[in-house]
Amino acid sequence: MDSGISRATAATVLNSLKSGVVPRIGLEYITVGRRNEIQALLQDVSIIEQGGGAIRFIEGKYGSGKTFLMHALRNHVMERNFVVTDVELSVEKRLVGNKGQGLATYRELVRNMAMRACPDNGALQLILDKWIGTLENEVVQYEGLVPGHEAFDVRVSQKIYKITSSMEERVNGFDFGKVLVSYYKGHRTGNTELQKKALRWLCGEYRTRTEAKTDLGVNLIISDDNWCDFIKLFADFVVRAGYAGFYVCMDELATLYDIPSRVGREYNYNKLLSIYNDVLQGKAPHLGMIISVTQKAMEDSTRGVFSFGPLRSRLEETAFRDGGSEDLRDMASPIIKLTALNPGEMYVLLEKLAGMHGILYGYSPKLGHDDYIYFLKKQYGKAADGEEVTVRDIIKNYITLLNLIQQNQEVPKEKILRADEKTTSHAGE
Amino acid sequence: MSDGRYNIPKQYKVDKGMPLDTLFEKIDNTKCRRVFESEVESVEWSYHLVDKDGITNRTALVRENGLSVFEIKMKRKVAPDLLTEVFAGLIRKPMVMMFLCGGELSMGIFLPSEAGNGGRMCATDFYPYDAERMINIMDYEADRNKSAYQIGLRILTMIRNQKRAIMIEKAYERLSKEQENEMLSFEFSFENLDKIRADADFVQAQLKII
Repeated sequence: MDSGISRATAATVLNSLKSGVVPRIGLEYITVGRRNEIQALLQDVSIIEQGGGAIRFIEGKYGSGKTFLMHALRNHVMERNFVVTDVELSVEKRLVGNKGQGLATYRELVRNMAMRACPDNGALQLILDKWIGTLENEVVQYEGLVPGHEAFDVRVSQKIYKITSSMEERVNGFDFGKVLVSYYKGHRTGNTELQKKALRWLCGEYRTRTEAKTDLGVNLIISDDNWCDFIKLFADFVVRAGYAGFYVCMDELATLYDIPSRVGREYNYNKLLSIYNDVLQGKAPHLGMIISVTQKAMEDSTRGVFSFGPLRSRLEETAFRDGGSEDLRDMASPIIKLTALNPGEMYVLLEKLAGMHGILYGYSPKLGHDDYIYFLKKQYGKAADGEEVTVRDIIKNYITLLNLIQQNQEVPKEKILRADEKTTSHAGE
Repeated sequence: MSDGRYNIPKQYKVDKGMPLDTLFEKIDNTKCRRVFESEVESVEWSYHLVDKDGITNRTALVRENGLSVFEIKMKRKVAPDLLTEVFAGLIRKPMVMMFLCGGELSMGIFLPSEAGNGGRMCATDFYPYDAERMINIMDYEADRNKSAYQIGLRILTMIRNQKRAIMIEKAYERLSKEQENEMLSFEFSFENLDKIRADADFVQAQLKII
């Protein structure tokens, strides 16, 4: 077992998995059987770093590891100096809606911005401050001016304006740049109120144009209709601020499938189409998007994404998909279909989790080859009996088993491992 | 326990436990007797379908000729063909047998020939108790105006069909099991596991930024 894992990481990973949620950290230690998928996604990351855009849909059953894969990528790109953000779509957070659901999604995305120095969320202010700090440093280092010098502020301002004015050509870039300048003005003059107003605007919290005009001198507010433009602007901005790109993770696209009205669903699918087009047509440089969706929510022809013709024609697999062999998969396809981990992969995952458990509790896990096989056969047996068994369920059961073995070391492991056998047979009687 | 289970009206209810010692004494083959003594938990004469109407008491009912239904609880499974043959030899009258064991069920039938020697018999293999596959001993639609013997013939046909279906199912299950075992033995082979471990290490190295 790789000994690079700290006890804290092991604790986070095991506790999260035990509760059925994807851990935020340490995912690389337990990523098994996703080599092709990760390779494809890392290829996208390189493209984004080089100024391109990428969008992928991760399709799989509930509990098949979609969120896991997204978080693994999120953590990885954050380490590669990306600004990342994520949102879990829900009834209140969609791509567009008549009760501001689109704006709610945007707000969540801005609130959840994270980067290496601020890995959880709430990184926007830090990003802005770091941006200004970097520009100030450049003036100090390369122009020999020190803060307080009469030309210092002028040079920094010039740099700021240079960047913001270069963004003006983009849709809504003028106002976005103007608000960044306001933030800088607040920073320079010590006017924290002005900075807060600029942040509020960037977070999409201004309700009226009048209010925005009065506070910041801009005629625009971020709304349900235009929030996607600002995500693209953020991608542009963060690169100018010294980051490698902007990576957006969107979980539970299946929420759109549940919108009761056809019109409501189509509005959302239309928004998704415009995001898809913009990213792939080069209108969103340095922007990466990864979206998780269930197979039904994607492929159902009456309510799913495929019910919307333009998206269906873009996303549907071509006749060549199988390439003459069912083992071949086109990993460049916009949809990455997650297959269930096969028994061998599950075996290696169990091994890794046992190793982590050992690190966390400072013992050598007693489970051996036959025990793993026995455990997995039992779990797959449940599936054969018609019970829905997901990777999530198997892992939860397994961590409980590890806990029991570790907490009752005087009891033979076989007795604990085969306890459910007795329970089943008693129930049968 | 079998109230309503076989779709038989109450007037045919017997509910009579059979004395096993007396019953098994008649088995000639010692080995066979030992098997029955050891594996049969109970034998209950549950119903007796007769052609005569208006019988109100059990004594009168069991004296009539007809088709009997027996419920035989087993401690462990014994080949249903053997069970059917031995019980047919012991009881020597038209009967349907339900062999129950560990949540599974097997149905057997014996219809003696009119000449008195031999007869027709058939039994299904054990299968998980499943209401959908349950054979109704009384089928009110099909059995209207039929004699008990004719009902027996209908049940014989159904048991034959059921036997075939269960045989196919079991053979397919065996095949799937063999294929699954073959697949699992590959999945859990050290060679395959080493390859998966190497892939996981590769992914770990790619995801980890030092």
